[in-house]
Amino acid sequence: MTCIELVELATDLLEGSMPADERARFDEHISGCEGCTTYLEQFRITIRLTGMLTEEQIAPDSRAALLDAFRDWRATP
Amino acid sequence: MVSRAIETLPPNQREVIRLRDVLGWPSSDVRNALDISETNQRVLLHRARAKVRRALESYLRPEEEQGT
Repeated sequence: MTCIELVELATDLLEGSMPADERARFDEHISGCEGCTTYLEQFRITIRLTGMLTEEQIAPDSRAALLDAFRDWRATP
Repeated sequence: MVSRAIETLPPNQREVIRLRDVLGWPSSDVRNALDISETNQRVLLHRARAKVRRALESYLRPEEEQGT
């Protein structure tokens, strides 16, 4: 596993959706990589800080705009 | 700072991170509410988190060159 691959898999790991074999390769890489260890820690801090926000601080778009956005996104080939 | 970063995200990424990380919904509820697949939800969430992380990094270390 490369650093670039590991960075892309950080959410898979933290969401608990990583297959065991991939998890083993993830652990093997990060145990010897200071940069990736730092990245994962920053990722956890980011999630924690995001979780400290209240809903009022994040104004969602109107429902219609969101639904449009998701429809467009799904329609993208 | 974090809220500003989230506000600049594309709407679909913003909504996923809002529901999952701000409101703390289980990922299964997020994908049901938005009618997206588990994979899509995870990809959007990851992109959103990565952008917020980068915004924090820039904010905390503005003098240093930002790698990619």
